[in-house]
Amino acid sequence: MGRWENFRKEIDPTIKEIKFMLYKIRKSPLSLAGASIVVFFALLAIMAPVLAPPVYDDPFQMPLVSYSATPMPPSAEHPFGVMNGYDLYYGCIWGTITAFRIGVVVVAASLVIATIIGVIAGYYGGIIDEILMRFTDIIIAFPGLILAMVFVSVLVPTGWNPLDAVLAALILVGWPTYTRVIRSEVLRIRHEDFIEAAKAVGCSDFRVITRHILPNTIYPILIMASLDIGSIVLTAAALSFLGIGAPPGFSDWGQIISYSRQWIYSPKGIHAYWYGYTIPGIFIFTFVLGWNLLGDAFRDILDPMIRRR
Amino acid sequence: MEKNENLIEIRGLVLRFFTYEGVVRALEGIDLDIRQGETLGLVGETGCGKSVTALSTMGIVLPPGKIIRGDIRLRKDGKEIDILKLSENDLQKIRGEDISIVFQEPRAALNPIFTVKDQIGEVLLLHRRKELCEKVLKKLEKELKNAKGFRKFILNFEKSMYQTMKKNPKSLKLRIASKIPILRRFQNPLKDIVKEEVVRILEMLRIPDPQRVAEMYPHELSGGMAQRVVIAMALACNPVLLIADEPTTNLDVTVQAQILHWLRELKKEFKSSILYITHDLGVVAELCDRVAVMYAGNIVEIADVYTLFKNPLHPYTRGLLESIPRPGSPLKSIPGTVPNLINPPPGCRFHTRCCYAMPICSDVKPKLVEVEKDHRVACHLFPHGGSQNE
Amino acid sequence: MSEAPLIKIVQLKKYYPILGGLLRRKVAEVKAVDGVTLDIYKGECLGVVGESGCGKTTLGKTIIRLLDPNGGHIFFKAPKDALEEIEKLMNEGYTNSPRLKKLLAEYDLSLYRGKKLKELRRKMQIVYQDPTTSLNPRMLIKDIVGEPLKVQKLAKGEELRRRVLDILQRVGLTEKHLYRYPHEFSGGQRQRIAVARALVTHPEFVVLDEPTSAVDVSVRAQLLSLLQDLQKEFDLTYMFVSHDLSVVEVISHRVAVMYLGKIVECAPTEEIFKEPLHPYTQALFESIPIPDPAKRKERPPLTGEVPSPVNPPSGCRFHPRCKYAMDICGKVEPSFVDVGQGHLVACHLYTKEGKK
Repeated sequence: MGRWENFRKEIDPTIKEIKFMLYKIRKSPLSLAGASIVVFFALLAIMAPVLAPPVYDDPFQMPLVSYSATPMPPSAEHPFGVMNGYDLYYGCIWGTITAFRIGVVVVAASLVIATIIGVIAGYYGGIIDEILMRFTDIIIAFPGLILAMVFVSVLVPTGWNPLDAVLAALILVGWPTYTRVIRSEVLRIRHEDFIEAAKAVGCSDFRVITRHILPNTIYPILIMASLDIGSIVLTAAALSFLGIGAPPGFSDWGQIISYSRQWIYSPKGIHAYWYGYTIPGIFIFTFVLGWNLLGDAFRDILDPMIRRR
Repeated sequence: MEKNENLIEIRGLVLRFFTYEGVVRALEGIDLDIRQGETLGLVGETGCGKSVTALSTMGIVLPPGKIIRGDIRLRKDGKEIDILKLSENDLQKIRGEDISIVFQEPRAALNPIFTVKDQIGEVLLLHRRKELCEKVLKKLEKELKNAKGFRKFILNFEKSMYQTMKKNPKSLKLRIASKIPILRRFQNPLKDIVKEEVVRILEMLRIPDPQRVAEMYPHELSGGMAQRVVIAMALACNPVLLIADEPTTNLDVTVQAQILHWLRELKKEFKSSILYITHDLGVVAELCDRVAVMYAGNIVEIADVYTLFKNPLHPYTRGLLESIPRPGSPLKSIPGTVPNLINPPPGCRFHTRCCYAMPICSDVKPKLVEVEKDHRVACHLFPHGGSQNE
Repeated sequence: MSEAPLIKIVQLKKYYPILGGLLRRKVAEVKAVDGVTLDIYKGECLGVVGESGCGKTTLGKTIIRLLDPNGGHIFFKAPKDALEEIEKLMNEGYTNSPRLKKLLAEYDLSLYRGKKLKELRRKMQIVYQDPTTSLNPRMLIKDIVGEPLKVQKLAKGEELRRRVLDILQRVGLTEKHLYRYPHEFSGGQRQRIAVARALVTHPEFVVLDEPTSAVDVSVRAQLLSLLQDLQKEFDLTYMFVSHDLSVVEVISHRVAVMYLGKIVECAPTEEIFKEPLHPYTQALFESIPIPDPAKRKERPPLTGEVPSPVNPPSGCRFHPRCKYAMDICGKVEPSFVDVGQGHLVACHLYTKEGKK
């Protein structure tokens, strides 16, 4: 039995599962829409260097194409217009990467912290559970936006990138929600026979947790996480809009909209400089919508799949 | 109605489940009669389709299942009702009142936050509201005779409410009044009457200490008591058919013996028919009048209980009887496993495991034929009924 | 019996605390196993029967140390002279003697910890009742069955694969089943996988916790045959816990009947089914529905409900429901009486005090 054949056989069941998931996505039009949107943005992010070649060393820095403060409407040269001197087209394309980065980093980090704390609290119970859960409760009390402002003002002077400071703040206030959910899943599963059987075989606690408990409890928070990616991006955009977050000229959708703040009401009328907030707004809206639909799709797929079988 | 007239007639029922993995041919042409006042045992293993058959008689077809064709008729008060053609509304009137069902796990059937009297009361209020209103009104009338002043005013108010309830239970007046704090109390006489009824039903069903049991919550009941309560709920409106889907499988054997004995006693008083689904042949022998054996979506043998145990004809029935462990003799089992119903074997579905299999068995599906009086088999060993190929 | 039992259980106790009150203190205890003394001999299958709440499952799990006992001793593979010495030392009150301590540390499972406990897992295993919940739904069969070997460091790589395949074939499955998930199998097949997992380390003692209850009737016999064959082939000792007396009758050599945390009767299978002595045993046997409509029962053999194990009745625990109850039954707990042929019964109908 060759090693390649062994490997093929190993992944065969996983392939079957993935095929089943794809089938379910195909069946529901909304899930398909969500998946398509996310895939579209992913492609946009991958193709960014091709679609909008970097001008400076830091590819995220939007190119300054004009020294005039007045926004310029979309034209052949600048398809999305120019705002505050920056090329919006460039900003929006590279903003996609930023959005993915924000969403994935915050959610992934929150998941990791939450899983560790939640699983330990749920598995061991007793006083460890009490301490960890009360600690979690304290963290929940922190207001996210204000904490972000505090982090930015405290950490930026020490050399942090303001966007990283915002991410750190969002991670800090993001993990408690997942902790509760994964803890309750662990509690549900802790007394199942197969967990006891694993102990009967001699598995260490670590092995029981990683091999038995985690694979069976992680799905609900994965679903929550995919739904959250959208809202995290929205929150970060809001913070950037307020001026907390991306440094000046950074390709970030919220940052771009913040430049249009002064130009919403103008002598020429409220829609004069629509491209400044509408276009990045559409990007944000569609991105968040795509992730929300995809998150719903995951929930529909993963739940009945477990139930059905 | 004559005793032996058919209460439920199922003819040619074909039911399939449309799943991701394929089409599951769950039922392939079921013909079954349930007679007035009898206890029919439906025996078969997991996946043979007995629960699905029972639920179909109530018009319950859970997705992704669909009834492809077939006929289910209920005879009530001399009228014939076509179950499969009824609307959901009409079906709801039948469920609980004419046909009731009891499931395997009593704790799953009882809502943990409601007491016994609330749960049985719910069934009564759903189907017997008018009669209960009459009883309340009678009580109110009696009290009105001696009432004076403020009390009289309240009684008259309540009387008008119940008269409205009798005519139109969903009237706006009642719904509003039931939300306003003090007016809400007009519901109290009804609650008292319901409790009285519940206690009466529990008493009639010989459940010990009915007053106390009525006030209990499900978690305070033992397994056997909980199942009795569920059966009381099912019998509350005196249905003509009680479907029992493995009701004693999860109970201890001594408790099971108590409940089987209790059901036998009740049978003498209540005139309901019982469709008793089980995989335990001992229970069937203890309780049933007739037995139908199912295998992989087909009925393979129907006979009265004495005949079935004395002279089982279908190889599957014989296999089942032989696989009951007997001390001293070696363990016998039916070789092979239950077939996958997405791709069932052609012809007779049992032929792959049958030691009497003939070439025709993999070709043609055997029909249910009458071999002797009231004894039907679906097997090519008995093709014309009456002749045996031994 | 002249040889020492494989497992000797002495006054084993397992209580579950009930916490209550504001400070979650222990307000009561569920006395699941309340002083069980039992011998299990090598190569036999001991059936343990009883109804819900009698503690049979708890007993099985406590013996293999999945649960920690609250009292009593579990002697495993102790030679006869060691057992005699332990008994002598304990009877004479030398509870602190270093010799006793050394003997106990070696043979008494209730004192095992850490590494010794982990090694014990190789020799004692369990098969659960419900094969749907006893297998990790997200693990491949080959990993489920291979895990004991991996964790116990008994094999790896190619050798592990070989042993897993070997045991799977022994229970009637094939190589193509290795790379599948549990939900792709029927109940009977899953139970076989559970058996394979239990046997892959070649244990000496296996607790079978109602292994056939969740399995179809036509497949039950296959599973029982398999268990019997495996017992002979691997020289296993079984403890077969069940509430299904017909199954126990076929597979067990001896049967112990439990009621409310205690053993009330213990005898070779033929003996106990031919002549059950304890009133509870009699009622239990009479309650089984017989597959013969001519033999219907006139009345249920046992009325009432099982009392709560939190507050078991005084004296003999069965006395409130027993039709032969005498005065002494409510006061004094009957001890075991040997009525001959290895038939032990704990009932005042047979004790010296009761017969007076």
